[in-house]
Amino acid sequence: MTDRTPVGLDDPSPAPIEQPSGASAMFPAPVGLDELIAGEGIEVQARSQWTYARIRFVRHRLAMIGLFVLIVVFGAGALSSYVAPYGLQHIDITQSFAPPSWKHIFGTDQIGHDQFSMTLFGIRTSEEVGVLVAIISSIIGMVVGSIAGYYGGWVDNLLMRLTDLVLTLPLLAVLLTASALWGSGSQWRVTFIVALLIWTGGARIVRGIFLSLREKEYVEAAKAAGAGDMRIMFRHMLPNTMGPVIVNGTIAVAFAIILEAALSFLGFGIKAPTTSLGTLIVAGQNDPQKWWVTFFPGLVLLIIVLAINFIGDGLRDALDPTQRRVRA
Amino acid sequence: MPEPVLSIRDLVVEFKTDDGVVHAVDGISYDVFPGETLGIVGESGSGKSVSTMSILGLIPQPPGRVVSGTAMFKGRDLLKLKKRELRQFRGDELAMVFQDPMTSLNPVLKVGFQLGEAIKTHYPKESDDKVKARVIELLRLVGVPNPDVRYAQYPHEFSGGMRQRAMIAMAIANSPSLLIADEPTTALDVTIQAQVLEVLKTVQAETHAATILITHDLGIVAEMCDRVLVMYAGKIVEHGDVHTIFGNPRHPYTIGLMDSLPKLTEDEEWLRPIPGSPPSLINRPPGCAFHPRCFLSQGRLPCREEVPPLRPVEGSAEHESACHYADELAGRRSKFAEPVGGPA
Amino acid sequence: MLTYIARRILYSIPVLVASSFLCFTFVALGGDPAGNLRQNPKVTPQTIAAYENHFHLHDPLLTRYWFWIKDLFGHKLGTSLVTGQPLWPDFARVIPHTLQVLGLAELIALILGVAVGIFSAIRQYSVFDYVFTSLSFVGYAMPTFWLALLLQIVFVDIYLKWHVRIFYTSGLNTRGNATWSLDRLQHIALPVVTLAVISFAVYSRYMRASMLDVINTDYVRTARAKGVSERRVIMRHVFRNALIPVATVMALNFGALLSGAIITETVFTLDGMGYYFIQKLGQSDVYAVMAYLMLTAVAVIVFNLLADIVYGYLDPRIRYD
Repeated sequence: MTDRTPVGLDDPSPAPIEQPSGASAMFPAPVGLDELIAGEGIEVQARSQWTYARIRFVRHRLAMIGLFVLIVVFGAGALSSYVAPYGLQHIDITQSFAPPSWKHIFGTDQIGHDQFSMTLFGIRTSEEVGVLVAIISSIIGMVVGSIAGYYGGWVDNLLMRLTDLVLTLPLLAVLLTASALWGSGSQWRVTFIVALLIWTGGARIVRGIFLSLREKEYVEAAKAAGAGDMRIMFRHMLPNTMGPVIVNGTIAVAFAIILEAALSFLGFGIKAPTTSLGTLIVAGQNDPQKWWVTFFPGLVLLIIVLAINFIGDGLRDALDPTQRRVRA
Repeated sequence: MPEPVLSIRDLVVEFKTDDGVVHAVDGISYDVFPGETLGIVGESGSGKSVSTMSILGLIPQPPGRVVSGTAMFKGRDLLKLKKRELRQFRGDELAMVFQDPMTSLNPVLKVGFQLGEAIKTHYPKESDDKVKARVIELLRLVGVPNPDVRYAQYPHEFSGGMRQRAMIAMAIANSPSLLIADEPTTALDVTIQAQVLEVLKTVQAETHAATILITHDLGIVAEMCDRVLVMYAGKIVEHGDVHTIFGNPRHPYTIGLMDSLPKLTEDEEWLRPIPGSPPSLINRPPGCAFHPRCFLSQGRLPCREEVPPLRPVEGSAEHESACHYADELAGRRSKFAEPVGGPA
Repeated sequence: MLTYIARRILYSIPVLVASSFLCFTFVALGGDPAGNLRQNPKVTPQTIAAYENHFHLHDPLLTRYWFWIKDLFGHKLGTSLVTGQPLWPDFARVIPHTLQVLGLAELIALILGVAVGIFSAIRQYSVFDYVFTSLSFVGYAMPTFWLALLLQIVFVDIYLKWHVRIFYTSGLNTRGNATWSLDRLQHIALPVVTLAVISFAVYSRYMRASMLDVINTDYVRTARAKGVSERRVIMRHVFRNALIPVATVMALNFGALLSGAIITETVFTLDGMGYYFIQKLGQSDVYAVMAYLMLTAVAVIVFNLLADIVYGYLDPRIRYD
């Protein structure tokens, strides 16, 4: 038992003695804070921010299911040339409008195209369009958003009014018009047209973050140290936008896929010979009794969009946990 | 000794979370007597707010749960009442003022309406004119200028201090027997704090309500309270009347709290925070919850193994401390004590 | 409140002008309005030249814009380059049909969405909540055109198999029926359901999230502390605050609704604005297309204005914006 003489708290001139953290002459170091922790076997590990994000994402069950499904579906699409049981050119009139069977899992269309293979090729088109649109529109959005958010003032005002204008007209109508005028059925033209019209969401997000970061001290410090605008934007501010931009980009993939399918469905998007889920779906309109022609490609489309939405939710949870979690 | 207005015994409240069961309040008992101001002091997470909100039934029942205990108020056990019966007490005999005035008022309803609602909920037969007159009178009592104009305004047209005054007015609208003020000034500027505290004093003088004042600010306790309860990790570690607690603290935590404050009348070179941080309320280590941070404990066995009970200090039941070695603190005066030989 | 409304209206006007210009430039740059004529071997070069002169097709952009604007107001939306007929009568015919479908769909979606959202929030984690939240996830991801076509297929097949006509799958009316007759309702039921499903998914999700947000606020805690009954707390304190974000979503959703109208009207061959637009687009009838875009821009702006007004009514804080 340590024998301690109680030191009076009203000691007139206590001389502070150097002692380990938090301790002083009045309060000799309390026994065992560190010993206590070590004793209980609690380990403290340093983890990076991305590791935390990954852990949070993995905990999100729906997102993991979505990821798995998407990998399977997109994988099948990417490898469609190898995986598809029948080639694009394969037609068999004797099998015209065959209902789903083991030979043709999704049935056939009027001239005997195997719908399962066609759907796979359609998936490939969708993923090519979706991913490319998401990347391009994210880049455009980041550029516009960072300029608007960084410089603020009239630059911001002007850019934001412009993006607002783009939004006053319903997206599909504008896309249809643009596609009719310039699209001519090409997959790449459609990709660019869609990308040029959906970047506004990402721009708003980046702009918002930049506007709030501008006031932060480390930006002022960097400026005081003589850093140029570009450097500040790239090194200091842009990395902060990565999380929301990734989430937004993921959702953009789904959005782009739906838009392309809608355009193709209405006849103003991708035209033959490239296969699109949209054209596959609309092909079933004239023969409603052959329901499988419309049903399966649409089901696949729904699954893709659902999977991406779940992944997007999981990413939002993982990368931005400060946002209140909307319980799925 | 008059009958207490509120009598809490052995209250235990826990919360179920993803990480485990949080023991927010771990068996506390205290009384509140008519007309007095009882201060409850403690850090965030000490259980001070939870204990009062649970007796008012404001803890969401999942995930919260009142495990056991009684809270006698006007001869009824509040914890055993049905929702509808408890609701009749809330806002009428038992009222609460919350911490953040900026978010405590409904932004889309007029202030006058919200205050009137407090009255009409319990006295629906009162005429609208009478209610309006009473509300204006209440606003005047708490010092809101031009109350007849302010009556028809929205909360965003009030400043922070005014909103808190309106909250206080709302709480005393029906002349409660017990007013609970949960950190009423924490979210306000210091100068406004002083004004709001004045309002509280005025209100007390008018209504003679017993008041529970929850705070982490010892300065407020010293100014407003008659008796003090110190809470740590869900338990009461010390209680007594304000002069005794400030002059003669008998718990290492209380002493630590006081020592961590700067004293304006002296030259101090170092501030002395209490080392370490509060324990997890999910996995409580055995023994006294404070011992890892305690300068008195020195790792002694009883501190590590036995939870110290609240025991009278020097034989006086008015001053109790939950420390195994409280006697070793005898004679110790806190730095806020009146100098020996001066006015008591 | 009035100044708020006035300011909003004033602000809309330059937006309208700017989008009209944007609209015109966009379409004019892209198409060759005389393209159809050029392709027709029977049309002589003189006719083409006269045509181009009449429609000022060789003049600089701004001049053409000015002529178009004059035409728009003077001759009621101008004339079609293809048919040479004025456009307004066409629009006058198709707009009410679209409004009927959209109006019904929005009404159903809003009422059901808000109700389900409120219940889901109050009974969080219940079976009701799980079922409807899952449904709204699917509804949100559902491609409009697929749903429309599936519904059409189902009901055509029902008719073909059992000879019972529950809902019609194309057109607005069988001959001779009025705008609000049972026959009309049978015809527009499927497109209305298609549009309502997706809007419903959005509104119920937002309402639920918003309710949950508001239920956990300090001021709701204050209301409870005053002793207000739970029912009153929900209806008077939570509901009105929770509606605010939903009003915003409604405004944002309007553009999607118009897009949805294009799709459903095409699938179900309804004589509405959307179908008209698709047809004119296919014919490269540039002025008709521009007129459509302008009208939708006006509709969006007007709708946003209405949403802003509702918003201002619900939330007194922004009236001083």
